[in-house]
Amino acid sequence: MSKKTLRKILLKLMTSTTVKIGLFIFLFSTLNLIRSLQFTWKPVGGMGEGIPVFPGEKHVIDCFHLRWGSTIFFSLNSTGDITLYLLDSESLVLFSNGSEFKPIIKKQGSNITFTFKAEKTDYYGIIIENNENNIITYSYFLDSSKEYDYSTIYFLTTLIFTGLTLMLIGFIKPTKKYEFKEGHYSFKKRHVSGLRVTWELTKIGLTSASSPFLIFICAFIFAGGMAPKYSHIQGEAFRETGLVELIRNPYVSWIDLLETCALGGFASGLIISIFIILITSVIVGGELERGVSKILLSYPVDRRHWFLSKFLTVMLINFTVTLIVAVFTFVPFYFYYHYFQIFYSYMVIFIIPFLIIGLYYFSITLFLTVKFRDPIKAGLTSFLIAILLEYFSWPLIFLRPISGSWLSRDYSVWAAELLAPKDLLELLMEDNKFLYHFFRLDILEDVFGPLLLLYGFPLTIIVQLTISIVLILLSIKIFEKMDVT
Amino acid sequence: MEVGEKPIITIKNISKSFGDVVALKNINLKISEGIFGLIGPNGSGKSTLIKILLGLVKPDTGNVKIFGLDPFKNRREILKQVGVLHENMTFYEYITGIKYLIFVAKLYGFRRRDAEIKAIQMLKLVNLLDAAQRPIKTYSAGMKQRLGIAQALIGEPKLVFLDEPTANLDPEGRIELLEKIGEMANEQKTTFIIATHILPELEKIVDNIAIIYNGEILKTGSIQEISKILKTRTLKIYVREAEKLAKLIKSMPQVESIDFKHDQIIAKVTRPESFHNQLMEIARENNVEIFGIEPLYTKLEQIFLELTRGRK
Repeated sequence: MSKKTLRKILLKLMTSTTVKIGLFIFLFSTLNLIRSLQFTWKPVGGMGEGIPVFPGEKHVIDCFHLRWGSTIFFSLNSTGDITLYLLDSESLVLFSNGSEFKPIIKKQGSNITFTFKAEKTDYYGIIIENNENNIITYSYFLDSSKEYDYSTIYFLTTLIFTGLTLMLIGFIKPTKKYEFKEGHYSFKKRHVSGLRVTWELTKIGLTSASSPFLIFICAFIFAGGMAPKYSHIQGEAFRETGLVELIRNPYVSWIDLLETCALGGFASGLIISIFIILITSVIVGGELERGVSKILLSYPVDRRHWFLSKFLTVMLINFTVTLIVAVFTFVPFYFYYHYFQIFYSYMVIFIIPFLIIGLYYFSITLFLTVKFRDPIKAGLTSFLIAILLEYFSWPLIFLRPISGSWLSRDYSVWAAELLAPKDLLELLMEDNKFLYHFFRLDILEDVFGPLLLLYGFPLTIIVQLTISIVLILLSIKIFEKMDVT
Repeated sequence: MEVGEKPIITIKNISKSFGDVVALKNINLKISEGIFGLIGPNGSGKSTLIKILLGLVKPDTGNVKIFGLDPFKNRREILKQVGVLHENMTFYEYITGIKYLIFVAKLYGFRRRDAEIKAIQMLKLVNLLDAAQRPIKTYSAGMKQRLGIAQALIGEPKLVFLDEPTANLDPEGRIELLEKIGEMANEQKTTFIIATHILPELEKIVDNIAIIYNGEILKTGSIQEISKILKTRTLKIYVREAEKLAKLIKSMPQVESIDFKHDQIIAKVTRPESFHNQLMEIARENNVEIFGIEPLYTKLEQIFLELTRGRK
């Protein structure tokens, strides 16, 4: 490749919005694909043995989570004839309700072997009816070496090509040429409102923030952040969350909900914190340190407009990324499980934490940035605070960021049962049961009493919003008096 | 200190310190229409004074008025009529030159289409039209300086602050810029405040100056007025026999000091005109050929040296 061509490519990379969007999609999808391959293509098959069934046990249930395309080899020995059913999750619900169910496989005899290839990703249960007090032993071999999540891979591959196509279009599209035309021009200036000034500053800030460097960083952070999704999808992770016990209960409908909670966990913790801290440090601190703010404030721009534009820039990036990640997470999820009903509730549990965490960490980083006037110092201190809040804030639960992991274990179980965000929010405000767990109120309720239990969630929201607003107002006050040099 | 008739800028008792460093000491100045030179070495307080005038830095004491308004209370009203070129301009690096200028034009109230035409005009003015679609990151220091000039003039301002405007510009660019400044000052009645330590170029266009040194205004007025303080001029004499002539003129009453090397004599003299006449006479009488005489420093440089001599 000649130097001239390379130079052209680099210039396009820096200036063309189409190329930048294409690059982000390409990087994000590629990294995501690598992550998903890591988790879904790895042979995870294995052997298992059922607990021996002794006389007197009438029904035995064992459950498997099988992906589309994976195979289970089953073998059973009994001292007498038994009946065996293989059921999918739907039939398991019917079975647990005592209703009539339709087994996928029904076998009778004392030596039963079968091979079953899952045609859909689902939870399957084996029910053994032991009416004759037989002693039964069984074993299975789960061949999940072909557990390819094809739908996700197709989806991501399509996106990779979409990204590449966009980049190609951007590169091919000729650069607009500006020509000077002699002549007398008369221009009329108009009044520019504060709102317009803020919007112009926000737009240029967003364009500047979409530098190739930040695109790379964002793609890495978010693709890395997708990892928990895949790890949770693994059967072992579900076992850790108590899935098997739940099936045995057998509240089978909860299985779907737990998947939601696993996905909700993605929004958790430090990923979003690091991202917001990084963006705020670069956008606000970087401008102050490099002297760009001095230049901007030499135009007809009030300091508060500059400040508001920074807030808008960070929050718009936060919101856009939230939506992108939500879609990226949801679409493979939909392909994988073929359920649409949890879409709204999932989006709500995803977006609310992102936006609140975004505001919370923006305000903290902003305050430290105007205080220190050093983006690196402010960023590192904010990161330290993020770690403290995430892992050591349990005595001060209201300060702990509202993250997906926080919502996932308890809340999303409820959330997934709902179809409308409105109902979901109502539940958020009213229900106390989940609050009990995710606020760890069990530790504190003895100290603070039942009121805390009742108002825990709204209080947390109010406390964190108040902290954010106070920090932003303080930052504005400091900035108004600050020398911009 | 008042310069001119109708002051556009009034500065009263301005002082500013950054920690222990005193940047400005009790500055009083009135600046009216025309081209005003703020002259001083690096670190003398020129940029700080401009930042105070723009409402970027708050003074410890005193107040300033631009167009009769307080820049800290009426920022936008003032800045709508002001263009600024800061020293060491920093831009958004990943924006193209034209996009940046369109953005600035819009802040000054031009509609999208007008902003684009205005941006093209400015790029043409500073010879950057070919680089219009390149990101600023790829610009050289000189190109960034030219873009800085373009953004300072794009809002059709009545008052323009130029902090070290000729820095990073090639000789051709410097001449073009100074010509443009003179043209705008005459035709559009734009007032320019030019802060610089590069004096020779400024002398050609400024109406009035203020000499600032260690945060203090030492002198202000027109170059003609201030020139009156000049007691000596340093002259460079190009001659065939430098040593011989140096010895001959050393004892002249106008000569304060003299130095020579090869074919040049550097003489610091009082009453330069009478010195010139006598010098030519002595040279003729002694058959010494003089090729030329020129001031070693411009008048402005000489004034500056005269005023700052012995100060720290």
